[in-house]
Amino acid sequence: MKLIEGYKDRFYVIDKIEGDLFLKNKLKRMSLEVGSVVQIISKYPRCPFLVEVNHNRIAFSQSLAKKIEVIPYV
Amino acid sequence: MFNIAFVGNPNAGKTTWINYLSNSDLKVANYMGVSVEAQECSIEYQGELWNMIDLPGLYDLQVTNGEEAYAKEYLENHKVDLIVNVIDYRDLSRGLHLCAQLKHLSIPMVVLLNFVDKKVKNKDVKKLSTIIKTPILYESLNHREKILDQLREVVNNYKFTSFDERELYKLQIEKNYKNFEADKVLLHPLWGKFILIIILILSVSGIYLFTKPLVDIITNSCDTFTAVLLAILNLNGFLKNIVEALFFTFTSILSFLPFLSGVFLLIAVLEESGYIARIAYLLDHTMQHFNLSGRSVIPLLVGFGCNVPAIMATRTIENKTERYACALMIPFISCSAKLPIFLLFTSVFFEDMQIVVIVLLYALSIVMSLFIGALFASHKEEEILLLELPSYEFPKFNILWQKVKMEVFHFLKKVCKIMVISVLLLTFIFPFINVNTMQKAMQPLGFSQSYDAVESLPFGLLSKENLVVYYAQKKGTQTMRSYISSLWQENEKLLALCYLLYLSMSIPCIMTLAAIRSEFGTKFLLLSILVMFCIPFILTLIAYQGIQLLSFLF
Repeated sequence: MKLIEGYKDRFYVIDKIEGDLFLKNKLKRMSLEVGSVVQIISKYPRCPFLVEVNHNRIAFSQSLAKKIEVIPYV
Repeated sequence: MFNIAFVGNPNAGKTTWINYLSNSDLKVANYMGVSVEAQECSIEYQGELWNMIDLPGLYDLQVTNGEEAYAKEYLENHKVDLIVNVIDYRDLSRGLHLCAQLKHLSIPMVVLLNFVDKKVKNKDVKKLSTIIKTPILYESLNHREKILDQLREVVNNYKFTSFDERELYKLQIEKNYKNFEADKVLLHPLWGKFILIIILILSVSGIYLFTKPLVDIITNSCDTFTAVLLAILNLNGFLKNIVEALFFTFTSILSFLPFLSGVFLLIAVLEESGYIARIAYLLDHTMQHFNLSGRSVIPLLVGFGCNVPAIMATRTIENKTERYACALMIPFISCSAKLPIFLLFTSVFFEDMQIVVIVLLYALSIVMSLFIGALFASHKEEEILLLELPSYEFPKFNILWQKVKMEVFHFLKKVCKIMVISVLLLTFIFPFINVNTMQKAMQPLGFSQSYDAVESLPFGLLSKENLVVYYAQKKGTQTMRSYISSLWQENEKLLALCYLLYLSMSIPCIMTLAAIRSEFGTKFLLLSILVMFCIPFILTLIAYQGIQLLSFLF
């Protein structure tokens, strides 16, 4: 499933990131890479997506949240 | 010379450490991207010159553009004797990722742990030091000499090794985490924006109300003091004019200090608490209406303090078009240098609604700036915003005090410098400027009816504080209030408003132009001068002629 479809306060594991190497590297620097566990902190329709990863809060545009595929963290 | 480069992730605390170790006052704030180029400061320690280099924050060495690439290139192409890798202890894994890469540069290195909690044990740090094969320092900010000694020692006994990042997984040490608790309320799309507006309105009106009595006391006592002092000195002729002008200028500037200090304090609190980056988050969607992203908010907010660092801060914007648009927008943001002239004119012409007029002028400058953004930027859907939010920190009194003191000191230093230059310019060079031609060209703007108001404009190019210096010198034996109120004979409120409107939008100062040229080149500078020349002219023309037409019709 896409990260944008995830629920608030739930944990997910990043399964796949669509996009070029440049984007993947950019996200990796913020600890957003395949295998990272993310918690959705806030998702409102007209606001950037807010997640917590490795105890860091990262805000990004919703268009990016559509490019990240996740699986629920069990 | 002993060159030490401070390297680390953005907002890890590199500049704070340099300031502490070298007793400097480089700008610090609690959001990423404050340092966008190498800043250097030197100290002499034990007979040797130590050069401390503050590099922009970076996450790893695989970068190709922006301020991060600048830091990487600096390390590769300059002589660096020691790297001090500053790591935020609360974000250890990311800091150590950069650390592993820095080890490959074959430069002696030491790790400086920041934000270490008291519960962290010495043996944990030793274990970490063994794994990364690098000396670690983590003392609190109390042992300056001890840290400097240890840095020197590291270079003498350094062994070049690398470490395996996978070994870090074995590491299990006590950690403290960042504080994000207030995000629930402050980042709410509705309440967050509402709280932001309330914070801004309350703080600005609070500063005004608290400082007003102080301003009155300073103004009255300065006038009396200057009059007594001049009577004692009993000077004559040319010298008397010069000394009088200098005294009156300085006392006029002093009377604005309480309000300015309040504004500096507000900016410092916003920066230190970590709220500035949240404003960028909150306003991202709003900025998209103007073809911009939340990233542009930080340089624009910095612009309220001074336009020069704001122009430099545009380096953090990755999108080229957005960066250029932001650079065009910044000069329209009224910087703190414009505040004294706003205060001076509004206290004379709009005494009862002074704060309303000032807020209106600021609001107009924001609207105009956004209009310019919408005109020149092109934000595409696929371009992404990626922003790391800093931890909430309760602003420390000593840091706030340091910041306000530094800003006030810089302001006074700048004013004292330009005060002398201005007196000389006004006495020897400006009498040769053809103000009459300027007056004719600006006739449709209304305020040009006053010779002095038009003559003051070239003065404002040096810096906007200079305008107060100009009026203090021009007033002669009159009080400032009576002189300013006599600038225009009729329609004085409207004309004063047009004058302030023109000033709020016009070229901020030569330093801003120099910053634009160095960052974006001469062609772009010419374009921005054209924009900064046309917009205030057109806007003031519309305001003055429009109101004239309305008053004629009704």
